[in-house]
Amino acid sequence: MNKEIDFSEAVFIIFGFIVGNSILIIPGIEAENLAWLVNVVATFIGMGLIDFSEAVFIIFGFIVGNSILIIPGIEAENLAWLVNVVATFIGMGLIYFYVKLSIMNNGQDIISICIKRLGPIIGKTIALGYVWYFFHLGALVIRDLTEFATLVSYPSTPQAFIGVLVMLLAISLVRNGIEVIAKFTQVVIPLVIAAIVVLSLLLINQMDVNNLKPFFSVEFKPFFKALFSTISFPYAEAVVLTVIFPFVKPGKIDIYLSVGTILFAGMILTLVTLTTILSLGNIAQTATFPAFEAARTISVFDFIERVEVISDVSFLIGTIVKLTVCLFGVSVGLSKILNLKGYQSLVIPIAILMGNLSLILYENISELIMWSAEIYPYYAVPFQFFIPGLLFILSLFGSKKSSSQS
Amino acid sequence: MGYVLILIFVFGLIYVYQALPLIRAKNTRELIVFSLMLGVAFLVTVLLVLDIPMPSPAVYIEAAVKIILGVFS
Repeated sequence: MNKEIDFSEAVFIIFGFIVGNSILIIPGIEAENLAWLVNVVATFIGMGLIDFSEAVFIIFGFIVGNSILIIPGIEAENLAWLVNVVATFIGMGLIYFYVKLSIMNNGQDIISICIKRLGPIIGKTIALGYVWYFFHLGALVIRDLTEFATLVSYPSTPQAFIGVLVMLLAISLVRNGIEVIAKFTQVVIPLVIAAIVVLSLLLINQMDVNNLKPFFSVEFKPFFKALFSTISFPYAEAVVLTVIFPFVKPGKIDIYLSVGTILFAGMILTLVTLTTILSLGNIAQTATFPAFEAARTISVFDFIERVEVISDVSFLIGTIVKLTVCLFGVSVGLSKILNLKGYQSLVIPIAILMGNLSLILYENISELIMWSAEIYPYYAVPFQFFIPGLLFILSLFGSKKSSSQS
Repeated sequence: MGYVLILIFVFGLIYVYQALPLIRAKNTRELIVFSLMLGVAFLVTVLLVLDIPMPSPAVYIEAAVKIILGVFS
């Protein structure tokens, strides 16, 4: 039955697969009269490009990332689930805006768009600001993980040791390129989703609908503050994801698939928020890692217990994906600003500095939580909204100008 | 002091592992950037290991955000 074929025959299959529907849907046509060059370059670096269906896993992993345990919008008490629903819709609009901005600039990332639209001096200065933002975000992600690990799982282990282990994995993923990152997320993200669904099902007997009452008890001001905070973390952080777009096969960036991914990620985060509130009630607001505390309460027939390790592992995986994207963004961004041939040589020093920054940033977890809730949303506004907005307007006028000239 | 010696050894290994291919490829620009960044990383790590306090950027960011919010409010 298993008839073997020669490699010479396989060559025809490979050729047919690659050419396929690309004959009619010309890849890289967004590059206008330079589409041929895009295809020549893409042929030579074909090994380093990914399909958008693979990038979707990175997008999902980045958004869900460390938000699984640090539930965004929990300040809104029993309305945190509603905050997440509203933030998901705003997040969908934001990803549409970031992807559109990238498509308008031939699939480039935010760093290249800054340099292209604002010139080498101002553009590179702002691009350097973005590199700092990605770097700082990466350090925050490491600190979240190391704090969680030392607080919950390994109280005697130094934070630096846990940080080094995680950084080693991130360095390996980033140095091996976007394809390896994509393959890694393709393997681990379905496990994260499955873990969340299983934990939610196991929590059903702990849930109490009365924990949602009184409905709409939260005032407008705290609600909007929680909404603002939830938009900036994690949804508007999607601006970092633009760094993967230049590594997507030309013409394959799908704006609606991105929006759909954010919708799905939002649904998962809302599910986590809702199950946590339903099972913990008021305790959810005071817990440092509410979803973990909820997972701790699981007890089915006195038989299935102590399954919080599942949420532990999901958090670890999500954090690694987010950290990897941040490290990738800093390395690629800095190599572009400094006009380097590749980014690989920068990965190790950047990872070490990122790990060091995570230890310097805050004295303790209370300071980290306070800073993330009170300062971070305002600090991130220029990177998440103002600069992309300005670049969008400039790109709009730039594309109109070029079309009128042609 | 023992930790510093370990750090010198580890950073030396990283430098040799990463710099040799760059030297062979005559990639001067990347070699300079890499050497500078690894040098800074080494310095910061040594300061951390020796428990020498370093200023947190978060403090300055917080001050800047409060000033800006104060202006707008």
